[in-house]
Amino acid sequence: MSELYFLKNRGNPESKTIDFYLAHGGYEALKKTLKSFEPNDVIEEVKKSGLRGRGGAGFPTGLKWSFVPQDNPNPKYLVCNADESEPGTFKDRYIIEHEPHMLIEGMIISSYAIRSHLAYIYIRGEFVQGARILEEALAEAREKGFLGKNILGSGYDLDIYVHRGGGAYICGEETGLLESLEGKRGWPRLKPPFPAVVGLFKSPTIINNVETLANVPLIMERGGDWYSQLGPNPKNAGIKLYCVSGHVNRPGLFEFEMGMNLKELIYEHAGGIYKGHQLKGVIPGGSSTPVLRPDEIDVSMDYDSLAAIGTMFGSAGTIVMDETTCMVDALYNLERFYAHESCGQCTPCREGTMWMVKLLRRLEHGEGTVEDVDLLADIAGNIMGRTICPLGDAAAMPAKSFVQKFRDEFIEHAKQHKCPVKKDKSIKVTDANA
Amino acid sequence: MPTLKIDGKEITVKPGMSVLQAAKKLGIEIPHYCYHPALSIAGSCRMCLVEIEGHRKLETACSTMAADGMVVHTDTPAVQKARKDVLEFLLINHPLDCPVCDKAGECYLQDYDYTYGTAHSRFRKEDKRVRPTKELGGNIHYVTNRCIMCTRCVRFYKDVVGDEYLFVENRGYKSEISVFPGKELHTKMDGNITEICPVGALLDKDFIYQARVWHLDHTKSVCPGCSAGCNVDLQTQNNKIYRTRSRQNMEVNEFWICDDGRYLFHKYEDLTRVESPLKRAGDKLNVTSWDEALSIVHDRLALIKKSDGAKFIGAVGSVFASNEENYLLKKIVKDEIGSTNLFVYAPVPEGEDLSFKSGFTIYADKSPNRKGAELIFGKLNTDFWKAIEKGDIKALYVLNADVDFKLTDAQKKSLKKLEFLAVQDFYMSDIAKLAHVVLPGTYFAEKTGTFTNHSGRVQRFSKALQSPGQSKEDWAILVELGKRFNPDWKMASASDVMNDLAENEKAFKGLSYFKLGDQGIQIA
Repeated sequence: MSELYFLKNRGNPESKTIDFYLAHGGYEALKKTLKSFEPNDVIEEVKKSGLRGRGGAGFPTGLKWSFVPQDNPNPKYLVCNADESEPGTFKDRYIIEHEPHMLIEGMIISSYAIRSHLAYIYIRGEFVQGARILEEALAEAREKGFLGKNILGSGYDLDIYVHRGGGAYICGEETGLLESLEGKRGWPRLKPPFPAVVGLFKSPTIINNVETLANVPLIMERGGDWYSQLGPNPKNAGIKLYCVSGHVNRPGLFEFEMGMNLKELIYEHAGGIYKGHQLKGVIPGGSSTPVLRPDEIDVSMDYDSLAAIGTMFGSAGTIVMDETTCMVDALYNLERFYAHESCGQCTPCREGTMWMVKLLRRLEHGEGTVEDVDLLADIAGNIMGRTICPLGDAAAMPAKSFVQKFRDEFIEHAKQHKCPVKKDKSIKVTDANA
Repeated sequence: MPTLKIDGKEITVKPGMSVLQAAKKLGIEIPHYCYHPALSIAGSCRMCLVEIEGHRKLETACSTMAADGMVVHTDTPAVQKARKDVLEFLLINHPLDCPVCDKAGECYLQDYDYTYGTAHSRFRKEDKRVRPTKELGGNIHYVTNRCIMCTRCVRFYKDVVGDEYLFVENRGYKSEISVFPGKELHTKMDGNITEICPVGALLDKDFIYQARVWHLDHTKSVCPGCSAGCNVDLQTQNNKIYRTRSRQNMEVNEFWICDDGRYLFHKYEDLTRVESPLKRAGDKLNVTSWDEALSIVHDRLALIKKSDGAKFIGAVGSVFASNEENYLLKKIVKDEIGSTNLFVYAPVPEGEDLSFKSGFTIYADKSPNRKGAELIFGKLNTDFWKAIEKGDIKALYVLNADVDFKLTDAQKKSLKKLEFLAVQDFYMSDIAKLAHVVLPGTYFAEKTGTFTNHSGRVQRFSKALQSPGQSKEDWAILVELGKRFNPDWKMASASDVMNDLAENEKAFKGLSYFKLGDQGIQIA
């Protein structure tokens, strides 16, 4: 796909209004869907498209929708996960703030597909402006008859509410999100049962990421078959927003087909490494995905290719680190985040994340030992796969991969009793926990 | 009905049963902290991880439902390692102050670490998280540093009490248990959280620093605090009760007791006990021997029977006395003396029953054995005052077992009309002070017997303490007295009395202490 979909109106402040959206073909996909598609046909179309969850896990969207038990007498809910908080990720925020109707149209079609009459957008608490824009966009859509009773004369009813999050990373975990949406503490739930069967208010619930839902109008407009042709293969199909941050000359948000080469993304589209420095490491898909060394980045950015080299596509939040980055310090920073955001419900994550922080602080401040390096990797292994929700894994994966791939640097910290890296002091980082 | 295999043993269980429960049925212990059979599933301590064939990761046995064809392993190297790792995580910030911790000896962190943990710590002790202890209200003392965040206490209020008092404050490694702002623990159920807390975090201020738990003797008993008949464990040392804990009985109190019952034993500690038999000399009660005291009672009653007739002799049983005691009193008065003037002391319940979400109820009827008294005496005749006033009764034998027994001035005046008043009592109650003879009895912790609770369940309580001085178990006093009237009485133990009762009282037919066991039998 040579033309842009998400970013086609970049820089145009009008893009968020419904008039602009309608003038450029907006809500046509909804009209088409309500007119000539049965709900199950929408699910089939999305299955055909090969669309996979853009929140990070990459679960096939159409398949997820088909898990909603239609014989359940309870209402069905669609929940849009707009709690974008993964460090390095800023794609949903763009959609919310600049293309809110793309999301709303996608939500209406998706709700129709799962026969839901009430949908929620759970938006990260800090996204104050985004919440306001969504409220305005929803009011516009309601006024135009895209929401409410009998949408476009189809007999289908739907309303969408915006719910602002309470301010915790864990509320982006889908079951933590549901608890929070129900007004409780955002503690992830045990699974099974999965939300598609027992979700919000004990009713069948589909939770999809903003970008996932915003893809749906395009799929319905051009067809699942067409969409599945985009990208390297039908299992990794479609278009994708890539977030590039860190030591590059042109950080920002990029849109390509699935399967953009990571090296090309960094060196061509993001303008190469900052100040002509050398590349040291890349976190490809948001802070929780295992780090890559420079010799590993000639890889297609898609779910399966990245999994094949031991990392994850995640949310495509690519974080680039140059030679002035201390990998111990970088991991220390990351683990402080995860320790701070651990909900504290289960033992390995609550205790393990803070233990890792304490070890890393010691290593970075020259008080660590060589044994601490192995201990760190070992603790990460003891958290991995043993927790209720993926936050434990999210904290463990960077630790394991940083130690594995930059082991020498960790050992040097212990041997020299100080940080051996010449850091670029022009970039200020505040050390809240030091 | 799913059939699964755990450690090579096959078992068929009810649908909806967890792997942990199924393993328990097979006698396989899967260690756990957050799981409690009476509470909702948290699945958060991660101690009960097991290996299930075909599953990618280890699963929590508490939250994984048993499924047909499931093959579970609870003791593989992966499971053993997971347990070690969880224990290591739980212990890094634990103060390891077992020598001064009240929970030592009954602490699951200790027990599991000995069984499943490692002896060495890889954690630098200077890194330990230190937080102040807190008072949560009532008798509950919270040692924050020892808490492992299993949230049993939080779920106890939610699931059992039905009103949320506790919650987890803060997040992650800063998490701790707190009382909701503006609330304070005062639910009459609070003591239970000190029992379900698997570590030394929640402590009962009534017991703190009083004893080491391994020194305590345990006696199976029944709480006499109301008609619920909660099963309790009296924990004693050097002939003193240190604490009362609940004893599981799924038919009665499940896992719980109320705080009224928990601290009831203190009520008996302040009483002035009668330590030897007493006989009246004018205004004074003088110490006498058992032989003389019983002879006086026998002789005076026999004399009144002879001069005035048996119907002028009355006796007062009690809804606070055991089945055995009431039965023996009836046997003496009806069979040996030949009077039908059997009264029962049975105060009218005040207020209403207090029920909690789980169904646990504190009954307004504060007597433990009203039902039993009804089964032995028939309709309870409580109005002995009128009979005394009218002069229909000249001699009265009173069996008092109520710690709160009080007399009005008018009642005291009435009693003075009696020619003879014998009182069997364990403390210097209002009525004992007016007696011609006082026979020193005992309270529930010092004797053996049975109560019949509100639902008609007969349950045994056993002697936990030696009674002071020359006082005796009440059934033994009554047997001795009975023998004065009829030397053929052969009963020599509380168990013998129960056998006699079971032979002669229809409702109790066929019962014996052996059959009652620890959990009692429903008879009505």
